[in-house]
Amino acid sequence: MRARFFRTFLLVFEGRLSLRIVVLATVLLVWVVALLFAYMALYRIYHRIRADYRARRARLYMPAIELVLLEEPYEQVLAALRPKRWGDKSVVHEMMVENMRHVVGAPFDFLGRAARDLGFVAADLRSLRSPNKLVRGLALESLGVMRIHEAVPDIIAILDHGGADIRLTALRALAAIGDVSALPHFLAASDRLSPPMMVRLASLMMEFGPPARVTVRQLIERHPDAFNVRTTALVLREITSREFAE
Amino acid sequence: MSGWFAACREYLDVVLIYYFFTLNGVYLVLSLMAIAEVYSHLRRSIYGGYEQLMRSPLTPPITVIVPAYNEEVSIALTVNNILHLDYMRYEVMVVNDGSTDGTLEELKRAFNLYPTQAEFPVVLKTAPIRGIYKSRDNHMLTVIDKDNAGKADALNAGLNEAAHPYFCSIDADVILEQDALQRVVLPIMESDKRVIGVGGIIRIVNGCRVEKGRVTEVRLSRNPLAVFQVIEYYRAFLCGRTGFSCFNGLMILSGAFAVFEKDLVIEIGGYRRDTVGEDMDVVTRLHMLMRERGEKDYLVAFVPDPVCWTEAPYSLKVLARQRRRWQKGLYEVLAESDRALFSPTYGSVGMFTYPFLLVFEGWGVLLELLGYIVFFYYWWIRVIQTDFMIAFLIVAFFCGAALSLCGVLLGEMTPRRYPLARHWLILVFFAFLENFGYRQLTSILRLLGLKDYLLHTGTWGKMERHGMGLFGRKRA
Repeated sequence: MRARFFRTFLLVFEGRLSLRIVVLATVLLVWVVALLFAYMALYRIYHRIRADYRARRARLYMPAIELVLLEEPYEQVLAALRPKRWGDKSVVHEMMVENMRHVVGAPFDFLGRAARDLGFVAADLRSLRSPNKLVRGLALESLGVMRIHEAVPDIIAILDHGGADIRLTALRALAAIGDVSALPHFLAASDRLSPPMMVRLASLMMEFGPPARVTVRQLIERHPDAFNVRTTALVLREITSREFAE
Repeated sequence: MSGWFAACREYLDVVLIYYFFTLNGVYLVLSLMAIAEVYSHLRRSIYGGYEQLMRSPLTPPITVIVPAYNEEVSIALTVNNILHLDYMRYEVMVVNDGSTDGTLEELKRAFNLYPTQAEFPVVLKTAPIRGIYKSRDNHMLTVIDKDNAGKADALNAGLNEAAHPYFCSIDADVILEQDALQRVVLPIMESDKRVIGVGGIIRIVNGCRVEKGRVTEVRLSRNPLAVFQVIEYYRAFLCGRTGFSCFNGLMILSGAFAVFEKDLVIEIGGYRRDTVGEDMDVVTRLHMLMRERGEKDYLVAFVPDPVCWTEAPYSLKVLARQRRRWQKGLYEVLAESDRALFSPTYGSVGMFTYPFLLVFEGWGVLLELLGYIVFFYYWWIRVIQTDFMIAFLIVAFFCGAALSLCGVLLGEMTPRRYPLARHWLILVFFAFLENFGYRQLTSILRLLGLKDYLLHTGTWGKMERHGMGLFGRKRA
């Protein structure tokens, strides 16, 4: 019985340990090691070249951001931001999104308008339908940062399908856009999220400011077990203080 | 007797070979799981939403507890570093565990401390408290001065005083990444399960450029012992812990940096003072508490992001002390939680992680060393052919190298990797080299840890630090 078992796994040959399994394992492992090494080398080279290239290209468009901050004429800004080479589109898009995180008022509106005119918003809206989760996630993030109100229906549609993390990204985007018409969808989405995520959901809803107070209260009433005493007190205190400030 | 010897001779080689293939097979599977997890984590973190998390009043506040014993050289820098993290609401609690050097004086001087008469509820019993100090310069800082009773006791004293629902235990000689707390809080906020503990990757600071308490340039140490440990840390954290966390089977979160739910840790009676593996012990008992309560929807999470940097031992003497202590701690924890062994009540911990640690990390050290002896003995008495022996040694070599390369690969994928190609090549070279001596050395040290456990010898010992005060200089 034992001999048959060992023979099955090629560990024993004519009463002794088989050399065959050892040789096979060696060949396999040599390949594994070689592939790992090659993959790492290629990974490093690819990332290094890509990062250097993108940084170099991004530097070309940086003066456009300065023009935005100086509130120069829109046409001048648009011309400076227009991609000059194939492949620059994503560099400019990324740079604009990154800068829009840190500006408010007129420069923000300027960049938002430019993003529309350069087709970045349309591209992001198309990306929302991509089967690739990363592409969808990046588009959601971008639309959220740029506060694109017309994207709200498409983002709401994402709440009905996709995994928990992409749904959460969609909710984050909606909170960043701040369109209060999306608030009831937060409540609906809460039924599809697990209780530990309710606090995060409430924190996203509170991004909407005073209009969210009723919905946040409804969320707590709908999922009382998901909020402990401390969190409930914190949420209510925050809502009350905002009401008082109003 | 000769019959017994013959039977041993017949079975032992097969047992050893099965042990070898099972161990490496499990590590390989864990590494593959870890690669998938790290890849998906990195993709998710591109649109992570950290900014919103930091703005929210609902982001859980954290108490950072820093037990300090004779840390005069680095304490001021470490505390200063912690006080300037990017996190919305947190407090820092330094517990001076009866230091015999000038740790307390250094803290008083650096942070303008004054004694307070504040009373706090004694939920966990600790050694007598000598005094509590607050800082005039920073309201977030509290210093507890107490009699010496070990790291676990110091952590318990900090827990008594902690005001927030989560606490982060860190060592007094580490450098935290600016966004360390954000990184570990994200799983707490966004996981679909209750997260009771989170850990992150501890990286080795040796060789890196450190300025004003921050790692400004990631470089590799020139000390070979430190380079071996870089690979070992990569393997342990990125392959091992990330792999185990994929099925909620993680039993170890490093004491150098880990976040826990405070009430749960208090419920299990805080940190155990009679073990040197208190970090592993607390995670194991938390798992057991949750499982015994019948709560399965919880998670001990692991974030494959570098959160903290620590100094690895430069000398063999210090390395030996550290490894013996770790191994002894492992046995103590396994002995204390033996009811988990193959018990379905404890889920993946009872059915997989505990047996794995017991067989491969615990007692496996005996088999490993026995393997070397038996293998050469069998070859000597011609039970094993020379060609077989050479082929098997080659398998062992490539197996070890493949696992280490997996660790290096994962390290390459994570942020804060070694930017110089030269350093990466050195790491790859050392991944091969560690099979010739370093692995055997660590096995011997683990065996000494077993001896310490069986004979009840060995203590924490002193970790010789080069200090974090080497601002703007490369650390050798």
